[in-house]
Amino acid sequence: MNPSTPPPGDDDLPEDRELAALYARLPKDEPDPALDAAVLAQAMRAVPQRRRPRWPVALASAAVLVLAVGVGWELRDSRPDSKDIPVAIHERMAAPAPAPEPATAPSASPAAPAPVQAPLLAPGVADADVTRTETYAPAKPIERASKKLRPAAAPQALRSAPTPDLAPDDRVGEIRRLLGRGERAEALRRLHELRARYPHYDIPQDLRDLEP
Amino acid sequence: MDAPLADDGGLMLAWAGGNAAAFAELYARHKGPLYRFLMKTVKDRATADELFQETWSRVIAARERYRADAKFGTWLLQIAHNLAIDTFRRQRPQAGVSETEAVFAAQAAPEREQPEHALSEFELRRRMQRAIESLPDEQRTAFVLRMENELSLEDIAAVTGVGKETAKSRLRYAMARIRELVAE
Repeated sequence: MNPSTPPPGDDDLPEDRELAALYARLPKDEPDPALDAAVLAQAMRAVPQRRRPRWPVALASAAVLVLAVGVGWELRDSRPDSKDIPVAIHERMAAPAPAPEPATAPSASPAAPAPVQAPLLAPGVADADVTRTETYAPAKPIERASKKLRPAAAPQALRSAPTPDLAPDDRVGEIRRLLGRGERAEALRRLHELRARYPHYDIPQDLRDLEP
Repeated sequence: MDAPLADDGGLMLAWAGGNAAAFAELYARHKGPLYRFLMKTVKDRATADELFQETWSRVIAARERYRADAKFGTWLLQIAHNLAIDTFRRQRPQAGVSETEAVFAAQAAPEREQPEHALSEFELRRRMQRAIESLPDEQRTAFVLRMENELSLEDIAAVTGVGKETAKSRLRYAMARIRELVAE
Protein backbone atom coordinates (compact mmCIF):
# COMPACT_ATOMS: atom_id res chain seq x y z
CA MET A 1 0.00 0.00 0.00
CA ASN A 2 1.44 3.37 -1.00
CA PRO A 3 0.11 6.11 1.27
CA SER A 4 1.25 8.93 -0.96
CA THR A 5 -0.23 7.75 -4.26
CA PRO A 6 -3.95 8.24 -4.83
CA PRO A 7 -5.82 5.29 -6.35
CA PRO A 8 -5.72 5.47 -10.11
CA GLY A 9 -8.75 5.72 -12.35
CA ASP A 10 -11.22 7.28 -9.88
CA ASP A 11 -13.41 10.28 -10.22
CA ASP A 12 -11.96 13.26 -8.43
CA LEU A 13 -13.31 13.74 -4.95
CA PRO A 14 -12.30 17.23 -3.86
CA GLU A 15 -12.30 16.43 -0.18
CA ASP A 16 -9.86 13.61 -0.64
CA ARG A 17 -6.49 15.24 -0.03
CA GLU A 18 -7.38 17.45 2.86
CA LEU A 19 -9.19 14.73 4.72
CA ALA A 20 -6.50 12.23 3.85
CA ALA A 21 -3.90 14.52 5.38
CA LEU A 22 -5.91 14.84 8.57
CA TYR A 23 -6.67 11.14 8.63
CA ALA A 24 -2.96 10.36 8.33
CA ARG A 25 -2.39 12.14 11.63
CA LEU A 26 -4.64 9.81 13.54
CA PRO A 27 -3.03 7.23 15.86
CA LYS A 28 -1.85 4.17 14.00
CA ASP A 29 -3.26 1.13 15.70
CA GLU A 30 -1.29 -2.06 15.26
CA PRO A 31 -2.03 -5.63 16.31
CA ASP A 32 -0.35 -6.85 19.47
CA PRO A 33 2.79 -8.97 19.10
CA ALA A 34 0.89 -11.88 20.61
CA LEU A 35 -1.66 -11.59 17.86
CA ASP A 36 1.10 -11.48 15.27
CA ALA A 37 2.63 -14.60 16.72
CA ALA A 38 -0.67 -16.43 16.75
CA VAL A 39 -1.38 -15.66 13.11
CA LEU A 40 2.13 -16.54 11.96
CA ALA A 41 2.10 -19.79 13.91
CA GLN A 42 -1.20 -20.76 12.39
CA ALA A 43 0.12 -20.05 8.92
CA MET A 44 3.24 -22.12 9.52
CA ARG A 45 1.24 -25.07 10.79
CA ALA A 46 -1.09 -24.95 7.83
CA VAL A 47 1.54 -25.36 5.16
CA PRO A 48 4.33 -27.94 5.41
CA GLN A 49 7.54 -26.03 4.94
CA ARG A 50 9.74 -27.37 2.18
CA ARG A 51 13.32 -28.03 3.06
CA ARG A 52 15.99 -26.10 1.33
CA PRO A 53 17.52 -28.07 -1.47
CA ARG A 54 20.88 -29.50 -0.51
CA TRP A 55 22.36 -29.61 -3.94
CA PRO A 56 23.92 -26.12 -3.73
CA VAL A 57 25.86 -27.20 -0.64
CA ALA A 58 27.04 -30.39 -2.33
CA LEU A 59 27.97 -28.50 -5.45
CA ALA A 60 29.91 -25.91 -3.49
CA SER A 61 31.75 -28.62 -1.56
CA ALA A 62 32.69 -30.38 -4.77
CA ALA A 63 33.90 -27.12 -6.27
CA VAL A 64 36.08 -26.40 -3.24
CA LEU A 65 37.52 -29.92 -3.41
CA VAL A 66 38.35 -29.57 -7.09
CA LEU A 67 39.93 -26.20 -6.44
CA ALA A 68 42.01 -27.54 -3.55
CA VAL A 69 43.23 -30.47 -5.63
CA GLY A 70 44.06 -28.16 -8.50
CA VAL A 71 46.01 -25.76 -6.34
CA GLY A 72 47.86 -28.62 -4.71
CA TRP A 73 48.70 -30.04 -8.13
CA GLU A 74 49.99 -26.66 -9.29
CA LEU A 75 52.18 -26.27 -6.22
CA ARG A 76 53.49 -29.76 -6.70
CA ASP A 77 54.42 -29.00 -10.29
CA SER A 78 56.11 -25.71 -9.39
CA ARG A 79 58.58 -27.26 -6.98
CA PRO A 80 61.91 -28.36 -8.33
CA ASP A 81 61.70 -32.05 -9.02
CA SER A 82 64.91 -33.25 -7.40
CA LYS A 83 64.01 -36.78 -6.46
CA ASP A 84 64.00 -39.05 -9.40
CA ILE A 85 66.75 -38.32 -11.88
CA PRO A 86 70.32 -39.03 -10.87
CA VAL A 87 72.95 -36.77 -12.41
CA ALA A 88 76.65 -36.31 -12.45
CA ILE A 89 77.56 -33.05 -10.84
CA HIS A 90 80.71 -32.51 -12.81
CA GLU A 91 78.64 -32.50 -16.03
CA ARG A 92 76.57 -29.67 -14.63
CA MET A 93 79.61 -27.75 -13.47
CA ALA A 94 81.14 -27.90 -16.92
CA ALA A 95 78.05 -26.54 -18.65
CA PRO A 96 78.02 -22.88 -19.75
CA ALA A 97 75.68 -20.40 -18.11
CA PRO A 98 72.12 -20.99 -19.29
CA ALA A 99 70.51 -18.59 -21.74
CA PRO A 100 67.79 -16.28 -20.41
CA GLU A 101 64.69 -18.29 -19.63
CA PRO A 102 61.67 -17.65 -21.81
CA ALA A 103 58.57 -16.28 -20.05
CA THR A 104 56.84 -19.47 -19.01
CA ALA A 105 54.29 -20.28 -16.31
CA PRO A 106 55.53 -21.66 -13.01
CA SER A 107 54.05 -25.03 -13.82
CA ALA A 108 56.20 -25.41 -16.92
CA SER A 109 58.39 -28.44 -17.09
CA PRO A 110 61.91 -28.04 -15.75
CA ALA A 111 63.12 -29.11 -19.18
CA ALA A 112 63.26 -25.52 -20.48
CA PRO A 113 65.12 -24.79 -23.73
CA ALA A 114 68.78 -24.06 -22.93
CA PRO A 115 72.12 -24.67 -24.60
CA VAL A 116 72.83 -27.47 -22.17
CA GLN A 117 69.98 -29.09 -20.43
CA ALA A 118 70.94 -29.28 -16.77
CA PRO A 119 69.68 -32.48 -15.19
CA LEU A 120 68.32 -32.40 -11.70
CA LEU A 121 69.92 -33.52 -8.51
CA ALA A 122 69.15 -36.82 -6.86
CA PRO A 123 68.61 -36.86 -3.11
CA GLY A 124 71.73 -38.81 -2.48
CA VAL A 125 73.85 -36.43 -4.43
CA ALA A 126 72.77 -33.56 -2.25
CA ASP A 127 74.79 -34.94 0.58
CA ALA A 128 77.83 -35.71 -1.50
CA ASP A 129 80.98 -33.72 -1.22
CA VAL A 130 81.19 -32.00 -4.59
CA THR A 131 83.40 -29.30 -5.98
CA ARG A 132 82.40 -26.34 -8.01
CA THR A 133 84.18 -24.49 -10.71
CA GLU A 134 85.17 -20.86 -10.32
CA THR A 135 82.27 -19.89 -12.54
CA TYR A 136 79.74 -20.74 -9.90
CA ALA A 137 80.71 -20.78 -6.27
CA PRO A 138 83.30 -21.84 -3.73
CA ALA A 139 83.44 -25.56 -3.04
CA LYS A 140 80.67 -26.32 -0.60
CA PRO A 141 78.28 -29.21 -0.17
CA ILE A 142 75.24 -28.82 -2.32
CA GLU A 143 71.96 -29.15 -0.48
CA ARG A 144 68.39 -29.29 -1.60
CA ALA A 145 66.81 -26.01 -2.57
CA SER A 146 64.07 -26.50 -0.04
CA LYS A 147 66.54 -26.69 2.84
CA LYS A 148 69.07 -24.22 4.18
CA LEU A 149 71.20 -22.68 1.49
CA ARG A 150 74.58 -21.06 1.91
CA PRO A 151 75.61 -17.93 0.10
CA ALA A 152 77.96 -18.63 -2.77
CA ALA A 153 77.43 -16.06 -5.48
CA ALA A 154 80.33 -15.04 -7.73
CA PRO A 155 80.60 -11.50 -9.07
CA GLN A 156 80.61 -12.69 -12.69
CA ALA A 157 77.21 -14.29 -12.17
CA LEU A 158 75.68 -10.89 -11.62
CA ARG A 159 76.55 -9.75 -15.10
CA SER A 160 74.41 -12.38 -16.81
CA ALA A 161 71.70 -11.51 -19.30
CA PRO A 162 68.65 -9.66 -17.85
CA THR A 163 65.66 -11.73 -16.83
CA PRO A 164 62.60 -11.52 -19.07
CA ASP A 165 59.71 -9.56 -17.63
CA LEU A 166 58.14 -12.24 -15.46
CA ALA A 167 55.66 -11.86 -12.63
CA PRO A 168 57.16 -12.19 -9.15
CA ASP A 169 55.66 -15.62 -8.59
CA ASP A 170 57.08 -16.83 -11.87
CA ARG A 171 60.45 -15.44 -10.93
CA VAL A 172 60.35 -17.37 -7.67
CA GLY A 173 59.64 -20.52 -9.64
CA GLU A 174 62.59 -19.85 -11.92
CA ILE A 175 64.91 -19.20 -8.98
CA ARG A 176 63.92 -22.44 -7.35
CA ARG A 177 64.47 -24.34 -10.57
CA LEU A 178 67.91 -22.84 -10.89
CA LEU A 179 68.76 -23.81 -7.36
CA GLY A 180 67.47 -27.27 -8.01
CA ARG A 181 69.80 -27.53 -10.97
CA GLY A 182 72.68 -26.24 -8.91
CA GLU A 183 72.86 -22.92 -10.69
CA ARG A 184 73.18 -21.02 -7.50
CA ALA A 185 74.88 -17.93 -8.87
CA GLU A 186 72.22 -17.40 -11.46
CA ALA A 187 69.57 -18.05 -8.86
CA LEU A 188 71.08 -15.44 -6.59
CA ARG A 189 71.29 -12.96 -9.41
CA ARG A 190 67.65 -13.50 -10.21
CA LEU A 191 66.74 -13.18 -6.56
CA HIS A 192 68.59 -9.89 -6.37
CA GLU A 193 66.75 -8.73 -9.45
CA LEU A 194 63.43 -9.79 -7.94
CA ARG A 195 64.07 -7.81 -4.79
CA ALA A 196 65.05 -4.74 -6.80
CA ARG A 197 62.11 -4.99 -9.14
CA TYR A 198 59.45 -5.86 -6.56
CA PRO A 199 60.68 -4.50 -3.23
CA HIS A 200 57.33 -5.10 -1.53
CA TYR A 201 56.91 -8.63 -2.76
CA ASP A 202 56.75 -11.16 0.06
CA ILE A 203 59.62 -13.49 -0.85
CA PRO A 204 59.13 -17.08 0.37
CA GLN A 205 61.06 -18.05 3.45
CA ASP A 206 63.39 -20.51 1.72
CA LEU A 207 64.60 -17.84 -0.65
CA ARG A 208 64.71 -15.17 1.96
CA ASP A 209 67.32 -17.25 3.76
CA LEU A 210 69.38 -17.41 0.62
CA GLU A 211 71.96 -14.77 1.22
CA PRO A 212 74.47 -13.53 -1.37
CA MET B 1 -0.91 -2.38 -2.12
CA ASP B 2 1.89 -2.58 -4.65
CA ALA B 3 4.92 -4.63 -3.73
CA PRO B 4 8.34 -3.24 -4.60
CA LEU B 5 10.06 -6.59 -4.71
CA ALA B 6 7.46 -9.37 -5.03
CA ASP B 7 3.77 -8.88 -5.64
CA ASP B 8 1.21 -10.12 -3.18
CA GLY B 9 -0.01 -12.83 -5.51
CA GLY B 10 3.47 -14.18 -5.92
CA LEU B 11 4.00 -14.23 -2.17
CA MET B 12 0.73 -16.02 -1.65
CA LEU B 13 1.63 -18.68 -4.17
CA ALA B 14 5.10 -19.04 -2.72
CA TRP B 15 3.69 -19.51 0.74
CA ALA B 16 1.17 -22.07 -0.49
CA GLY B 17 4.15 -23.85 -1.99
CA GLY B 18 5.87 -24.06 1.38
CA ASN B 19 7.83 -20.82 1.63
CA ALA B 20 7.36 -19.60 5.20
CA ALA B 21 9.11 -16.31 4.61
CA ALA B 22 6.61 -15.43 1.88
CA PHE B 23 3.71 -15.44 4.32
CA ALA B 24 5.66 -13.45 6.86
CA GLU B 25 6.29 -10.79 4.22
CA LEU B 26 2.67 -10.77 3.14
CA TYR B 27 1.52 -10.49 6.71
CA ALA B 28 3.92 -7.64 7.48
CA ARG B 29 2.62 -5.66 4.51
CA HIS B 30 -1.06 -5.97 5.25
CA LYS B 31 -1.48 -6.42 8.97
CA GLY B 32 -1.46 -2.68 9.85
CA PRO B 33 -4.01 -1.44 7.29
CA LEU B 34 -6.22 -4.45 7.93
CA TYR B 35 -6.13 -3.98 11.67
CA ARG B 36 -6.90 -0.28 11.44
CA PHE B 37 -9.77 -0.99 9.07
CA LEU B 38 -11.26 -3.39 11.60
CA MET B 39 -10.63 -1.08 14.53
CA LYS B 40 -12.46 1.78 12.86
CA THR B 41 -15.18 -0.43 11.52
CA VAL B 42 -16.11 -2.28 14.72
CA LYS B 43 -14.85 0.44 17.10
CA ASP B 44 -13.74 -2.08 19.73
CA ARG B 45 -10.26 -3.50 20.18
CA ALA B 46 -11.28 -6.90 21.48
CA THR B 47 -13.68 -7.41 18.60
CA ALA B 48 -11.11 -6.10 16.16
CA ASP B 49 -8.54 -8.59 17.49
CA GLU B 50 -10.97 -11.42 17.10
CA LEU B 51 -11.97 -10.47 13.59
CA PHE B 52 -8.34 -9.82 12.65
CA GLN B 53 -7.31 -13.32 13.57
CA GLU B 54 -10.39 -14.80 11.97
CA THR B 55 -9.67 -12.94 8.75
CA TRP B 56 -6.21 -14.43 8.53
CA SER B 57 -7.57 -17.85 9.43
CA ARG B 58 -9.85 -17.62 6.44
CA VAL B 59 -6.97 -16.53 4.26
CA ILE B 60 -4.98 -19.53 5.42
CA ALA B 61 -7.88 -21.88 4.84
CA ALA B 62 -8.57 -20.49 1.39
CA ARG B 63 -4.97 -20.36 0.18
CA GLU B 64 -5.45 -23.18 -2.30
CA ARG B 65 -8.37 -21.36 -3.93
CA TYR B 66 -6.60 -18.04 -4.15
CA ARG B 67 -6.12 -16.82 -7.70
CA ALA B 68 -2.98 -14.88 -8.33
CA ASP B 69 -4.77 -12.50 -10.67
CA ALA B 70 -7.02 -11.29 -7.85
CA LYS B 71 -5.88 -8.36 -5.73
CA PHE B 72 -4.80 -9.82 -2.46
CA GLY B 73 -5.44 -6.63 -0.49
CA THR B 74 -8.96 -6.28 -1.79
CA TRP B 75 -9.65 -9.93 -1.14
CA LEU B 76 -8.32 -9.61 2.40
CA LEU B 77 -10.51 -6.60 3.14
CA GLN B 78 -13.50 -8.31 1.63
CA ILE B 79 -13.12 -11.15 4.08
CA ALA B 80 -12.69 -8.72 6.96
CA HIS B 81 -15.69 -6.65 5.91
CA ASN B 82 -17.94 -9.69 5.69
CA LEU B 83 -16.87 -10.76 9.16
CA ALA B 84 -17.57 -7.27 10.47
CA ILE B 85 -21.05 -7.30 8.95
CA ASP B 86 -21.74 -10.64 10.61
CA THR B 87 -20.62 -9.12 13.90
CA PHE B 88 -22.92 -6.13 13.48
CA ARG B 89 -25.80 -8.44 12.88
CA ARG B 90 -25.03 -10.46 15.99
CA GLN B 91 -24.45 -7.64 18.42
CA ARG B 92 -24.71 -3.93 18.78
CA PRO B 93 -21.48 -1.98 18.25
CA GLN B 94 -19.49 -1.70 21.50
CA ALA B 95 -18.14 1.37 23.25
CA GLY B 96 -18.59 3.80 20.37
CA VAL B 97 -17.67 7.33 21.12
CA SER B 98 -16.95 6.69 24.79
CA GLU B 99 -14.07 4.36 23.99
CA THR B 100 -12.66 6.88 21.58
CA GLU B 101 -12.77 9.48 24.30
CA ALA B 102 -10.89 7.12 26.59
CA VAL B 103 -8.25 6.52 23.95
CA PHE B 104 -7.68 10.20 23.37
CA ALA B 105 -7.75 10.96 27.05
CA ALA B 106 -4.97 8.45 27.61
CA GLN B 107 -2.84 9.94 24.89
CA ALA B 108 -0.48 12.78 25.65
CA ALA B 109 -0.22 15.62 23.17
CA PRO B 110 3.01 15.45 21.19
CA GLU B 111 5.77 17.37 22.95
CA ARG B 112 6.84 19.16 19.80
CA GLU B 113 3.51 20.95 19.56
CA GLN B 114 3.49 24.51 20.85
CA PRO B 115 1.20 24.99 23.85
CA GLU B 116 -0.94 27.50 22.03
CA HIS B 117 -1.50 25.02 19.15
CA ALA B 118 -1.58 21.76 21.13
CA LEU B 119 -5.33 21.76 21.62
CA SER B 120 -5.91 22.60 17.99
CA GLU B 121 -3.97 19.66 16.54
CA PHE B 122 -5.01 17.20 19.18
CA GLU B 123 -8.57 18.38 19.01
CA LEU B 124 -8.58 18.09 15.25
CA ARG B 125 -7.52 14.48 15.43
CA ARG B 126 -10.05 13.79 18.14
CA ARG B 127 -12.83 15.34 16.14
CA MET B 128 -11.80 13.38 13.10
CA GLN B 129 -11.88 10.13 15.04
CA ARG B 130 -15.24 10.89 16.55
CA ALA B 131 -16.63 11.94 13.19
CA ILE B 132 -15.60 8.66 11.64
CA GLU B 133 -17.20 6.69 14.40
CA SER B 134 -20.42 8.62 14.16
CA LEU B 135 -20.93 7.70 10.52
CA PRO B 136 -23.37 5.04 9.50
CA ASP B 137 -21.66 1.70 9.06
CA GLU B 138 -21.72 1.68 5.27
CA GLN B 139 -20.37 5.21 4.99
CA ARG B 140 -17.76 4.59 7.60
CA THR B 141 -16.60 1.47 5.81
CA ALA B 142 -16.35 3.31 2.51
CA PHE B 143 -14.47 6.16 4.13
CA VAL B 144 -11.97 3.94 5.92
CA LEU B 145 -11.36 1.82 2.85
CA ARG B 146 -10.57 5.02 0.99
CA MET B 147 -8.46 6.73 3.63
CA GLU B 148 -6.77 3.84 5.37
CA ASN B 149 -6.51 1.27 2.62
CA GLU B 150 -6.41 3.69 -0.33
CA LEU B 151 -8.81 1.65 -2.39
CA SER B 152 -10.31 2.90 -5.62
CA LEU B 153 -14.05 3.29 -5.90
CA GLU B 154 -14.12 0.10 -7.90
CA ASP B 155 -12.33 -1.81 -5.18
CA ILE B 156 -14.47 -0.28 -2.46
CA ALA B 157 -17.48 -1.50 -4.39
CA ALA B 158 -15.95 -4.97 -4.68
CA VAL B 159 -15.15 -5.20 -0.98
CA THR B 160 -18.54 -3.98 0.17
CA GLY B 161 -20.48 -5.90 -2.45
CA VAL B 162 -22.23 -2.92 -4.04
CA GLY B 163 -22.06 -1.09 -7.32
CA LYS B 164 -19.46 1.55 -7.99
CA GLU B 165 -21.96 4.42 -7.94
CA THR B 166 -23.32 3.27 -4.60
CA ALA B 167 -19.79 3.16 -3.21
CA LYS B 168 -19.12 6.62 -4.58
CA SER B 169 -22.28 7.99 -3.09
CA ARG B 170 -21.50 6.56 0.33
CA LEU B 171 -18.00 7.99 0.19
CA ARG B 172 -19.18 11.45 -0.78
CA TYR B 173 -21.71 11.51 2.07
CA ALA B 174 -19.05 10.29 4.48
CA MET B 175 -16.57 12.94 3.46
CA ALA B 176 -19.11 15.72 3.62
CA ARG B 177 -20.24 14.63 7.08
CA ILE B 178 -16.70 14.39 8.41
CA ARG B 179 -15.75 17.80 7.07
CA GLU B 180 -18.80 19.20 8.74
CA LEU B 181 -18.04 17.59 12.09
CA VAL B 182 -14.35 18.44 12.06
CA ALA B 183 -15.06 22.06 11.23
CA GLU B 184 -17.51 22.52 14.12
